[in-house]
Amino acid sequence: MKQMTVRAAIMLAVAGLFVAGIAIFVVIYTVDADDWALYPANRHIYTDGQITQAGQITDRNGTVLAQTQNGQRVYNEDQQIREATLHAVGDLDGFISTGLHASYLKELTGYNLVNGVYSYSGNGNNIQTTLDADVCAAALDALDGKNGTVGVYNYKTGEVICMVSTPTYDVEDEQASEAAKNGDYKGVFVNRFLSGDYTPGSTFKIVTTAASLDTFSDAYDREYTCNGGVMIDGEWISCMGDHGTIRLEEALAKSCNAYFSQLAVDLGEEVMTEYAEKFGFNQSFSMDGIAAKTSYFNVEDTRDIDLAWAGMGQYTNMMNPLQYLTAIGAIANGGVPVEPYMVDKITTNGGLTVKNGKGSNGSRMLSAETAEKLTELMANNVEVNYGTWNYPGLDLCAKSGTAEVGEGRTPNAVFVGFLRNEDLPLAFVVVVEGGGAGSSVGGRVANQVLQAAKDKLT
Amino acid sequence: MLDQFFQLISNTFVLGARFVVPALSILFLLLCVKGLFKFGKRPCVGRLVGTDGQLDYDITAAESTVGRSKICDVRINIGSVSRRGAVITYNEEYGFKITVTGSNEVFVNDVPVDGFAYLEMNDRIRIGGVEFRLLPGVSRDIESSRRVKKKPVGTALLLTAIQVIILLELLFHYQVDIAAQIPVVFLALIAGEWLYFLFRRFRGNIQIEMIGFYLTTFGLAVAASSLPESVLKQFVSAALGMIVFIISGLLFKNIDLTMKLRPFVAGGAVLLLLYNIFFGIQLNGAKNWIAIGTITIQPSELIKYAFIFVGAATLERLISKKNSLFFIGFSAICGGALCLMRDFGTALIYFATMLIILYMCSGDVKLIAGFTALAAVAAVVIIRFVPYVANRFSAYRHAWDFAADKGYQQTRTMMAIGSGGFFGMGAGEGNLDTVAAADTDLVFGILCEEFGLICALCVISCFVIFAIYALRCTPRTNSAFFSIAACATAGLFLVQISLNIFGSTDLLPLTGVTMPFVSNGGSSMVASWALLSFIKAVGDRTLKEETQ
Repeated sequence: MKQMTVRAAIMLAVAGLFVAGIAIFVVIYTVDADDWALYPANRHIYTDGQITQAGQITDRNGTVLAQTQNGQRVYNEDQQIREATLHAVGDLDGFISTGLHASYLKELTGYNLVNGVYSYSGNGNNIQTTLDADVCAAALDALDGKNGTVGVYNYKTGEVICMVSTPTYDVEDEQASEAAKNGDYKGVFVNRFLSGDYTPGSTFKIVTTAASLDTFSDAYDREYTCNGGVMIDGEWISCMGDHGTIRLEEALAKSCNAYFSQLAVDLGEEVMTEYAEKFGFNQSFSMDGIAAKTSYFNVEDTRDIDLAWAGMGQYTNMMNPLQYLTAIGAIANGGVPVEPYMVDKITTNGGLTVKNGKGSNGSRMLSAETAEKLTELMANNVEVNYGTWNYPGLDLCAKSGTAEVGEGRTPNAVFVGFLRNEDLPLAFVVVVEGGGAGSSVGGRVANQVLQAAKDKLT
Repeated sequence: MLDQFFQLISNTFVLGARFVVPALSILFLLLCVKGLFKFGKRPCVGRLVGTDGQLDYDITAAESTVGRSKICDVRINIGSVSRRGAVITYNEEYGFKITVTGSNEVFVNDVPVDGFAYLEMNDRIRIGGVEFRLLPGVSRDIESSRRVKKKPVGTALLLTAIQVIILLELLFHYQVDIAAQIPVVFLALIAGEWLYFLFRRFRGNIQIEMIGFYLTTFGLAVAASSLPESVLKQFVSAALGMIVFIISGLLFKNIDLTMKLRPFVAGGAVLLLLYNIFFGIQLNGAKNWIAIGTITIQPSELIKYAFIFVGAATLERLISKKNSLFFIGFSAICGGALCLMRDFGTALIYFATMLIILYMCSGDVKLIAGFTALAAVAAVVIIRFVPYVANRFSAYRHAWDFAADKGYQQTRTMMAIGSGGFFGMGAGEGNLDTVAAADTDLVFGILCEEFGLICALCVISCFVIFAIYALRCTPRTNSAFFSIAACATAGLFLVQISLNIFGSTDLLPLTGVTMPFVSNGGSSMVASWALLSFIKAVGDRTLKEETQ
């Protein structure tokens, strides 16, 4: 039987090939099984392509933003809240790719490699967010039908209290959902806070100011002349007023274009780029693992006139609201940015906490001293220009911007800042597209949201 | 309130069962392997001692070749001896027999042998001028051979535990709507297997049957989950297959009768195929069904048994001169018939099995290479010119790009596998069953979805166990027939589950073949049990171990 035994060894080859095939399959499984299981045709999770097996999404107070009831995904019963938190929560079809329904699908369905989509209760994991539904609703109300975004976060802990993006729609209104899918509301699936970018306009003067404070020992006493504008490279940069000889504090409060265009040119392209990048321009940002659009600042080998415009937040500058909010928060937090986060806690249905959100400190952006000086200057802006009475009870530090977005179009109103309040350490960014004047339109929105936040959080 | 309580119990049971079934499965298979691969010492039934004292060989196998070749059991490295001179066979009934297989003349007690001769103790055998005597065997070390195999009752209890848990899972899944067939059939299976075990007194590598019952359990579970009304049919098929299994086992005790049946088995298979070609009916794309009254059967499944039977019987004795033409002709008929029925997947299985049999018979690597090249050409032609095959190939490795049409089945299978994770959703809790052919061609998906990847791997590892078992039993089996048949069967199983698993997961083109024992289908179930008899025989039909 020796001969037979030798020949029978072919079974080793056959079995070996088979086992190798299975090994390859198992490797592919470990890499790809999540994509397989979360494919929208999987009826364990989706019904007619719409997500159903998923846990609750709640705001910071436990208010349910979305949950599955009787095999159906339902949102908050208040339409205003539904619309305000749509981009945070996400739609049912996954069109809003940055919404939790899409980006936290694994966590919501409870999917993992070991358990697949099995869930003891059939409902996956719950996500508690740091959002406050009422503050979000207030922000939506304040935007008053205009497109734009409002972001508010705690600059000490990183908790995002408010994140609203418009246009939005009511997911529970079938007609509106259809219209959204048909593209009737342009850009409705984009969360502008994360995926949008805007011309920063005069709010960028904060960056130029920071660069000046660190670069020139006489930053406060530096004088430039404003003749209702200034001529650079043979081109006229006009100013809102005729400020004459003006210094930093007043120039920032009055947002003097002549001052900052000359200052930017004096600082030069290297220093301006260095500070823009300190503030997060050209850097990648993400929130809860969801990548944001990268901001843009590039003055390499440009003419002085371009550098001047860039120093005032125009030219090719683009800020992303998340990045901008983080930078503003860093000023408030003594120069150290705290990364914003929205996913606070992921718990199984049995109450087991799978993941805890935490805002981690980024690397120092500015010295504590510079941050303190910027804080004072921004507080001064409110005092002498925006009017403390417009922000009752809020110790506000802010900068407005009226961002030119092209010939013949109403500028975007941009308003950024923070509260100098240990008990309510909030930073915010407001953009109202086509809103017009930054301080009046943006400021009104900011006040409405911050008042709501103050009511809810203290 | 009561409903909620019941739901809680049900959910909690499934939660536990998800872990218990794979755990018990692993333990069960380990015990089976431990039992199956524990071999006693081979008995020494006789000795060959050279008259000049040069040779002293203990005969421990049913067939021992004598010759100059390195591959011979009794190697006589003298130029005058043929490379393969003779084969000495031993059978408990008729004792020793010598068959001339080379060019040397063989003398027994100085009388020339014509073809073959029976041998007595102390006979002198001369081949190529070398003389030796057949002497009685010596009893080996008594201590080691007296080892009595423990009865694997625990293994059987594990099997039953798995079956009960799966049945309970199904009961919890269907609750009051459960088809009465399901509990009846599961209990009948448990009762039937215990009757069988007790009847066989747990002796003689009973783990092979246990693995068969284990696989059948998953077959029934898949049927219960996807098509509850088919469970009874599936059970009856398993019972029929079991009957064939038992009859085959009895038949194989008489190797001479087995050999004589070869032409009849071949003839019967060809007739069945011809009937299929002319009177067959088309179901699910291929015309490989025939109807007897209201029952439809798939001859191509049943003929697998005949195919291996005929193929293995080609080589009756080691180094016998029979050529393989008869078998190659038979294979060509089977393959041609399958192509006419457009059942290319099964044709491929037959072809691979044929290669294994031919290699086992001839050891001729060139022949195998030639056939493989021929098949490759044929495959290219089929892929080019048969539209539905070409269509399937166009989605191959791009299933997700065609998730709504050509890749529908594969993507649904992968979704199911991903959903199940390691431990599954619980018996009956899958969704894949609504996809066409889920319980047959895509059954690996159902296994993974409901029982999890670990259980699915346990199920398919059974077939790897069969292959290694066939290999390990070869040195001690009574006849080359059993060795060839067992290896061919294990090979057939492996090729078939490869096509099934890798086809449904887009690693190979989807050919639409079943997984033995597990896929829903009566003919497949009967054939699986029938084929298992070959695996069983290779371990059972051995020389009796000393002092049992």
